[in-house]
Amino acid sequence: MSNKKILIVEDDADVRLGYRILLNAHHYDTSFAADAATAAGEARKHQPDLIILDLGLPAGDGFLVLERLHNIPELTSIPVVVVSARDFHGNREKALTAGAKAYVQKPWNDTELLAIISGLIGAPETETRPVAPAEVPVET
Amino acid sequence: MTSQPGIADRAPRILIVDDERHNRQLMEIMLTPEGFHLLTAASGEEALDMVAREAPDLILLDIMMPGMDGYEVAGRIKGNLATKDIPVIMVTALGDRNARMLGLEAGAEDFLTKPVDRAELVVRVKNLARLKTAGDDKHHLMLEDEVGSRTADLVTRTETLEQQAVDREQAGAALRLLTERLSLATAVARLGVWEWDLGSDSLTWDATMFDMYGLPHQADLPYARWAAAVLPEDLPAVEAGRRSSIDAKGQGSSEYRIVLPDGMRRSISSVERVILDYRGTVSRVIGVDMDVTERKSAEEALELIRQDQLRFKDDFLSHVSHELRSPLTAIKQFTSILLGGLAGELNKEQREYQEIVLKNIGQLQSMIDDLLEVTRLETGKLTIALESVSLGDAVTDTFNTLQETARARGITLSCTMPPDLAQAYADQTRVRQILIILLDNAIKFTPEGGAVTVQARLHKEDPRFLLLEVSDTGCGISPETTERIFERLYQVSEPTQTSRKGLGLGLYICKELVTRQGGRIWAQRREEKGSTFSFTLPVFSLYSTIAPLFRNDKWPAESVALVMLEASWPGAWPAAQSREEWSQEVRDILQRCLLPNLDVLLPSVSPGSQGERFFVAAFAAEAGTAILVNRIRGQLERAPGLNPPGLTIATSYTMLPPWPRDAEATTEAALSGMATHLIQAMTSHIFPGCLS
Repeated sequence: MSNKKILIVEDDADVRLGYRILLNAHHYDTSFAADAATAAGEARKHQPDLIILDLGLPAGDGFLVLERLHNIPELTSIPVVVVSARDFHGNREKALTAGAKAYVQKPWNDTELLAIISGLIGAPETETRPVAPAEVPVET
Repeated sequence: MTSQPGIADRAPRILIVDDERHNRQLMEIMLTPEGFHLLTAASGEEALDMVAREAPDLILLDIMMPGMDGYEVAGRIKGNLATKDIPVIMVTALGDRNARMLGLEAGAEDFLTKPVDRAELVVRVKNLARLKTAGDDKHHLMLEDEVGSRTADLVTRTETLEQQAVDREQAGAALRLLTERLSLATAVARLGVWEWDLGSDSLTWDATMFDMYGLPHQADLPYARWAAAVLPEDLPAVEAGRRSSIDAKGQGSSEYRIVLPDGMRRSISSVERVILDYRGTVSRVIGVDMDVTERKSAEEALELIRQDQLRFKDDFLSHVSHELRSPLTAIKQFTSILLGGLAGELNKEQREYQEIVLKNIGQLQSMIDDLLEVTRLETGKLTIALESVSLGDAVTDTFNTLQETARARGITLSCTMPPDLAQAYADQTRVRQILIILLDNAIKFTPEGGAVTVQARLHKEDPRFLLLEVSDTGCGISPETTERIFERLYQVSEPTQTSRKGLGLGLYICKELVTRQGGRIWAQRREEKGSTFSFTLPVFSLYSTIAPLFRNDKWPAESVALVMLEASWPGAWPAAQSREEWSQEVRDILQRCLLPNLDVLLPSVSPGSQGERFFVAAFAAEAGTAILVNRIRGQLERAPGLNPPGLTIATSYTMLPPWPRDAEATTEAALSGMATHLIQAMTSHIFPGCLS
């Protein structure tokens, strides 16, 4: 059985790399979009099980992406977790109203983020080896 | 003297002689409605000139004038055959005895005392003017008789007045001085003086008033003309204010905007005082209006600038905090990756050092959070949702959050609390936030092996409050510091403090949060060792939370209904979302269904583990209530996220006993009765025997 796929929409390259390492280590496959304009196209191409979405993005913003995803029938049902440095107050409610399933404040706590992801698309399949950049056992 | 044909048709011609413009205007205002033809002269010389040219039927003559005074004018008129029959009424200051005598000698027919009473003036002028214009010998004789008898009367009165002469003279002098000052002040300050006669509902204005309102000068102005000039949205408040001044037989002030005939808006500041007649009833209101348009617009401009600066500061803080979070995210991410062993196993030192990095990231993170929290506090964006809160739960949650930190420093956390402690009327999230700040501080300032304790109990000094105390065995605080420690940006700078300080915002946030929930916070040095931070929160009581909701002067409709929404989940709470969020969403939906002035969403009542209840007091009859309930049901059905599987929501309502819809209904007792009815309905229908 193949891994669950997560699309990460995030403009900061360092943060994208961090996501890749963390999520691959926890048996999720990752794909990326670096701006609002390409996010929906990437989602259509990869058909992810879940989307992690930043709010502050070039070429639009996360709310625009939420709206687009909502308007594309094949993508509407993909759960979106907004992870943003923007303030929790105000933005969280706005994001949830726009269809996001959860709002995580940057900098986040790994345990919390992973719990939200597995709550939405199921726990990772632990029997598969991670495609981690370093060959180290993953702590559970 | 000759009788002219058609004389009865001619309006009597009255010459008003006074050097004070205001006095002339006042007389004009009083006499114009009587249909007289009015002439005015500002000096004795001008008066004689007018008398010769216009042959008035009556002269109202002021005594004190620069140049030729009233006595001399009267003497010359009476000394001239052509004019000696023109009646002269001398206008004198109150109790000016010598003036009267001299006037009499000069040949004046009558006297009027300043300030001139309108009714008296009109009667006297009418009498004398009729005598003069009728003009035959008989009338002349009558006039002489009249003058004779009045003179005798005046002599008697003068004698009586003599008794009080000293007092009156002083009073008169003071009054003249005041009048002078007033007219000077009104002229310099561009104050408009008005008088509102309640009997005729008309206004008497001075010239400044007409100029201010851009209206043509006229004698009496209907009250409605003034009301029409006031901006419609401002009028009710002004009228209500005047009404209450009249009711209180006192004075008042108001600010409002007027629209000039050319469409310009001006701001007016007005002060009024009620004048009582001899029976003690309100007959007139006098007042002063001032055009404050320039001041107002300056104030508005200043306020705009201030708002702008505040917004800039807040935007700046928000922006900075947000931008700081982005790099911090990457730092925390990779530290976590290293610590998680995702980039290879760490040795003992490497792990230890990365832990230090992570700890400092945490500190930076909470400083950013504090900054944003303070920005929210100061911009009013921070919301407090009061409901019934279990302090036991709040303390347990806080201990769970901080247990790890405390254990790492070898500090024990403990809590003492009576099992039957009342619930607090507070915001659950905010109570936890306060406890976290206080406990985190206590842990930080307590040396290894110390203890931090939380105590909660009913406040002995005021049983309407719960008292929470967070005590530590740390270094303690000095008495001077306990006063200032809650100030914004205050930092303890005592030599014993070795820990890093932070921004000094935590206790300020605590104080704001406690205060906004109706409590109080303070700090004390403990006698043995360490310090105690105490704060209070109001006890949750249905009565005290519900009763104030009904203290509303818009006491409405016929009947009241209690609408109930009961959610239950027989097993565990459906996992899809947090219960708090769900609960907030339900409250939001309810709030949207309500009519703002007629329905009240009541405070939450302590939620159970398998059910939650929401209450609305609706000021409606049964039909209206049914519509409301349907609206609520419809809204809930259209929000699928609120109906996760495993949860059922039932909506129902009950009509409350009616109560008298009369004046009594707004009394405190009736309102209390209302609240009690509601509470009884809530308790008997929902939790039989559950609330005392």
